[in-house]
Amino acid sequence: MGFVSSYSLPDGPNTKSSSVAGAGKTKLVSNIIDQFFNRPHDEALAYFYCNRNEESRRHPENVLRSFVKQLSISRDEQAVQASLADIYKAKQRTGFASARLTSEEAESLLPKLMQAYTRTTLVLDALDECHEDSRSSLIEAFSRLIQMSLQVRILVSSRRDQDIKLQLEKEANVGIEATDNHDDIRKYVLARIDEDRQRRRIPLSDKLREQIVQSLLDKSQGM
Amino acid sequence: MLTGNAPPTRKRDRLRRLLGGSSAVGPHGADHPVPTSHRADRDLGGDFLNKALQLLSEQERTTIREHVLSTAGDIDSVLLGAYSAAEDKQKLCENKRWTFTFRGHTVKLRDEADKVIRWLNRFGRVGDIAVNMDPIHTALPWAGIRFLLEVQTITSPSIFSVIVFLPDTLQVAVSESRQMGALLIGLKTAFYTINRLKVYLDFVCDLPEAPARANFESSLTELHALILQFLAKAIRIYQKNVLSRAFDSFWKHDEVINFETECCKIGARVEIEARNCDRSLSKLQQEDAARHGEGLRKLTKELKNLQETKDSIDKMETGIAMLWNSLVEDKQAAILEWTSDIPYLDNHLTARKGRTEGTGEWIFHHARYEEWETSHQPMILWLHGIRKFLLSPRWPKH
Repeated sequence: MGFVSSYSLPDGPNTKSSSVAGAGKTKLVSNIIDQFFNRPHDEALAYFYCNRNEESRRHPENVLRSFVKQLSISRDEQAVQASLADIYKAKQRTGFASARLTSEEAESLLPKLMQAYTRTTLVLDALDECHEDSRSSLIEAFSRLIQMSLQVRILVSSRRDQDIKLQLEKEANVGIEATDNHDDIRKYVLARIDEDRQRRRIPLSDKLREQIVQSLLDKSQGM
Repeated sequence: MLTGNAPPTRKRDRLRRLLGGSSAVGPHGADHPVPTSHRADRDLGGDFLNKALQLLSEQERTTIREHVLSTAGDIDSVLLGAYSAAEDKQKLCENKRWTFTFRGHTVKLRDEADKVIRWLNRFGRVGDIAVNMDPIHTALPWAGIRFLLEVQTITSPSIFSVIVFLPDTLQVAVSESRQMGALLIGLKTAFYTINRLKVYLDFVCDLPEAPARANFESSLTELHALILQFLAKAIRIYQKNVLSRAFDSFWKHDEVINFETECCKIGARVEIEARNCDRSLSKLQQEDAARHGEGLRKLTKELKNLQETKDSIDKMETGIAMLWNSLVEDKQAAILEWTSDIPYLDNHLTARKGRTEGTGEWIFHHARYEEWETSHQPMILWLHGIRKFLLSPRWPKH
């Protein structure tokens, strides 16, 4: 601890963040999404980053609505898929054009929209940043989608909060507990030390640099 | 390579009778003998041409006459030349990445050249000209069209040498691309209109004599004259440029727009006259009504095919179609915005910002990730428990 603070990086704008570049799961998820941008033409991708600091990004229905929107933009042109347009028109006719798409409607639309693609990938980042009282409904919705045996794969990243843990352990087919990211931590720490080095009058020795990295790796164990 | 021995069809005879009223002499007069086998066809096109030429000014008439070809062989080789010149132009436009603003849209000149090439292709279907010497082929100043396509490619190098001495370099370059844009769009419009004309001509020569037919014919002649006028003007401007090596007399953007608008206007009139013809025929000849109804259906079908060809060639349709599309797009955008207004892409870009190069790659080699990624079974992957790596002073106690 003391070791880290004595060699802590200077308090610049880049070093204040609590979730650190290269090691946070959001970065990891963004990396995965980037990979899916190169998917085959006939496959679909929809993703959502929850964020506890933005109210609109904490609501499960907003996650589903965003998925509907992304899947409605067909792969060739900006054609809104008919099933969504139908709901919109129906709402407009009954004078509810301003009413939002409900969670139930969004969930019922998703399988219809997915039929336009050979495979669909849904990615949800930071489920734990969703409202606690309603986030379980998302896992339930995902679970129903999976049971419809659609060509869909879903990736959820989330802290192991108790409620999520209980549910996801039941529903998720596979889970990854990341213990393999030592290399990432090393890369990140080295990058930051090198950044810092350039600002120092007396450069850090390679030995000290290695010591810092090792110490951080050791201490990060079991977090 | 050219045979042209096909006997004139019945239709052609009729067309000939139809068009042959005013003059039996071709555009070059009797002192330009042509092989007998082509004579009938040439005269046919020539007569059709003469009617349209009556509507032109003396100067325009002369220009067109100079560039009309009399034999299928000539037309064949000129078309080939025009085709390869158009290809050169396409390359030029591609290399220079020229764009052009037309009716509020930015068009890539390379694409416009591509459309011209595709229309030329349609005219010059292998063997088409030689065997079915079409009146429409003889009724166009093909030599002039080739000239238009060739001239700018030829003079391009000299423009470059001129540029060095001109203070207003950019102006010259901009003007050159504008000139090219106007030419390509103009030619494209002319080619499409000519193809329409051809379909109408096929229809008209199957019609019996009637006053309505005369109106129809005169609207066709008017449309033909419009195309010729445009081409004559273009040819004259380019001839002047080649002679003077000066590029001061560019035709204006507006002229191409006017040409396009006029084509639409007269084209609409032709359409009305065609329908009038059909109506009056039905009244006159009950027994023929069915047959002519068939003719009109065929006409409509062919025009529709042509329109589809045009649409596929020219996806940048202007005017009403454009407006319609943008309305549909607006509606779609409204539905999408109503569905969700969360800027997911922005959020993604924010999330990936500052990612350290080379990190996060391990996940792609993780067995469970690979299992999820490659599986064709529906599957949820839960990514959890990744250490949040915190910097001091929030480094957790342990």
